[in-house]
Amino acid sequence: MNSITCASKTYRSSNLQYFQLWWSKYSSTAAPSKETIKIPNRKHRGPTDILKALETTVSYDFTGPAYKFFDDPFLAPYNDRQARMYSLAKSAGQKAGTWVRDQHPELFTQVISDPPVMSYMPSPPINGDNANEEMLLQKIHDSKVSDAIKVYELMQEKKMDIRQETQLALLELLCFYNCEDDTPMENSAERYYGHTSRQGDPTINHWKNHPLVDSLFSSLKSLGSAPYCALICGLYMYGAKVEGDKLVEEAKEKKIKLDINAYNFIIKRTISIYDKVDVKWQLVQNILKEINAAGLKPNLGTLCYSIDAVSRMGMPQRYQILLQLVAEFKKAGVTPSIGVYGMIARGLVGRTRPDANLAVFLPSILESLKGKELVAEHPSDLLFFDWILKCCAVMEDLPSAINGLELFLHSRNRELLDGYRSTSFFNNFFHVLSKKADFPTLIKYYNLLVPHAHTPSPLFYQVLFDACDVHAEIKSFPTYWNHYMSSGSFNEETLLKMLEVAVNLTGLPDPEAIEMRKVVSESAVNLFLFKMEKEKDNVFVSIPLTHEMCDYLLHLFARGCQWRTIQTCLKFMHEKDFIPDEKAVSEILDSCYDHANPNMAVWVLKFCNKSFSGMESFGRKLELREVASKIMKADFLNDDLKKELQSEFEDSSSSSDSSTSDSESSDSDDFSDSEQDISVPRKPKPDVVKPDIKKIVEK
Amino acid sequence: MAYNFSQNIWKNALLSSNHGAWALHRTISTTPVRNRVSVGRYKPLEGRKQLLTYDQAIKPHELAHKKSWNTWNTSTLEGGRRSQLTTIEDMFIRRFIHGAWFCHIKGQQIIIKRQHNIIRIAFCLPKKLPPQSVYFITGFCERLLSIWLHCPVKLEIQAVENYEGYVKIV
Repeated sequence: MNSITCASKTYRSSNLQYFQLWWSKYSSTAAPSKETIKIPNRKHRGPTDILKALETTVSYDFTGPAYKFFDDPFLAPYNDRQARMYSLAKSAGQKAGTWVRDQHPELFTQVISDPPVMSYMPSPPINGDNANEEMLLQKIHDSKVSDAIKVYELMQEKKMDIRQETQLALLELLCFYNCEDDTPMENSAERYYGHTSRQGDPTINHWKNHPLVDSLFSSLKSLGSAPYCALICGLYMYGAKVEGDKLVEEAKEKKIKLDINAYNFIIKRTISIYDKVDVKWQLVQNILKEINAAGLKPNLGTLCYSIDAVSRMGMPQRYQILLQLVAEFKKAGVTPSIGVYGMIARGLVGRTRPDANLAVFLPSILESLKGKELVAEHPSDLLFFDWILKCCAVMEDLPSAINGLELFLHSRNRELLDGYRSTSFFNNFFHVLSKKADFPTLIKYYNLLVPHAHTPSPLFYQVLFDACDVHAEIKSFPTYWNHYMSSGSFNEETLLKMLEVAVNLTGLPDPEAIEMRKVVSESAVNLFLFKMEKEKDNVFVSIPLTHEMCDYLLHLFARGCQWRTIQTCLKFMHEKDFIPDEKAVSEILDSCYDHANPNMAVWVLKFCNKSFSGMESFGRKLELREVASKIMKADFLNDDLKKELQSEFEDSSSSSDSSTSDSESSDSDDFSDSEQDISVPRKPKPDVVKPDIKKIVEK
Repeated sequence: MAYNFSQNIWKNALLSSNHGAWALHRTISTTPVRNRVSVGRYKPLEGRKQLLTYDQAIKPHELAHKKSWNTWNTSTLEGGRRSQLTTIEDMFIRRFIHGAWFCHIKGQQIIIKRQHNIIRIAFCLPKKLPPQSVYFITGFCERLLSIWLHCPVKLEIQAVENYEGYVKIV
């Protein structure tokens, strides 16, 4: 009925609409529609604009490995070291492919792309026939230094004319790349290991005095400023200070007007002058005045190198000077980039103790940059995040560190952190976190960044496990255990702390803790078996299992009913002359009683009595016997087991006077290949009063 | 089958005669129709049984019902371009991948997906090789195929246990 009424309503309403339309169309009295269709103006979009708009909807994903890795549990990296190794392996494969192409260009002749993609094609061979100025310019444009030198030399042999502009471009290329091919480090892992390859330490002379540079320079001297500037930049960039100084003197004598880039490198040169701070500061001031007198407009490089030079001087009034410099450059039309702020922060930290102004400067800078999309304008900008977090670590300033991280995660700002610096950045962040953060904050940022963005150090894990112990964090503890085990960097103290906390947490009278016992014990078994495998393979184990670790492991095995592993562990301890802790043994016996496994209890007592009697004091032996007698009195054991235990302890008491070596040799025969049935019997648990083993064992 | 065969013999006998009515049809090929389909159907090998992967276990007529295609591109759609070139390239890619990974992807099918100018190649790999070797060969394959095919190539590998990919024994 309802459906019929609904249908009739819709019919009526549609009829009404139709009627209204009809009326508006044909009736002369009906008001004409005021709506006019307005076609919007066409928006001119670039070919990648839509892709960029789509990209903004995707944020940095910390929940999985980076895109370059396979999204597969077997192939995904779980720590920084693995990530670097896999990344390097992949780039090595790519380089091998490129090498095959370069060695056998005859195999790659087909051109199926339209327009042709030149980067996929092998470069044509260079010989005397095809070497010309056009090719030389192309090589200079592609920054292929060795090819450009080869083409130039072939052209010289053929005595071809080369324009001075081309020669100058070649000189600039040689000076910029120090006469050698640039190593393209597209991969951040490569930059991590080889970041000091090109420019290196500015205090050491890396300049390769190629004869071609001298010949080009001498032939181009007539051009005036340009060749001088190019060579001065190259010499100072690669640490050839003496040669650079001579050239600057020569230029001054000849009254050659240098450009702003050359002056920038002259400012950079002042960093490595061994003189008093006041003299150096005076020198920087003089150079800046000279730039002003020459009528040159300073650029961002001038500001960056000036700030760099001043921030390294360590003057007491450096904060004021640095701010004054920035203000003056702003007046001259130079907007400071983020690298400038980073260098100021680095200068304020100093080598001995941080400047008091840093506590004001750091939060204010991070506050002003909050929510901004940063752009790299100078090479020093790539060090901004690293320096800022270093300052936060020194100051132990948690709010600034969190602000710094949030700025880093905003938009595409993470691209400003160079690959090899990311480890240092996150290490500093976790340092502050471990020192100052409360437990929820610690867990929040740990869960965000670990394991895919960063692998924390063992020291951080020590703090984390401590915090878990204090705050009784049972639920997440197995996850942190697995993270630490897959981090690949172990530390004896941290491992011990982890086991200790595991014992503490699983021993809590909490239903969650009792549930977690099985999970933690399985992780403990994995750890134990991993170490045992290493020992079997005679591989050098950097952190072997110690006595204390074995005791903690026994506790965990007992709580998780890992009977087989208890046997293996006790045998291992016997091999290593470790005597199991009384509490651990009593825990095993307790667990045997709770889970109604008398066979295991008897096995443990027998093994402990035989194996550890020789190296144990007489008191311990008596305790074991007392425990055994206590167990025998209860209805826990059946008659056979009672007899077995009785005979065992009677034998040991009778043979206690005999030599220990005999007893040890007999033990090994008994327990070496013992595969006793230690499974839990099916019979129901007897209703008996539980013997208080702990009291007996603990005296 | 038998009917077709006898019928065609009869037809051929008529064609070979000099009968006027049939002489017109001599130019049309009338080879016997063979309805026997053997591609994609696996039988026990001589003396031993054969393990089939998921792809092999599904017969060709079950394609698009139980599983999808191994090649994904738009060249065969109406107005699709370079269909021949795509087919030849796919054959080349399959052979190259089999050659580069040799015994490791034996019996496994390779899926080639073309999206825009990217070629994505997917296959399963047993967990025999250590991950760093897998990444090395991946980088090598991607770079060489990119150089040959003039477009970005991406390998999508899933690691499986040994014999995990086999689902049927014939």
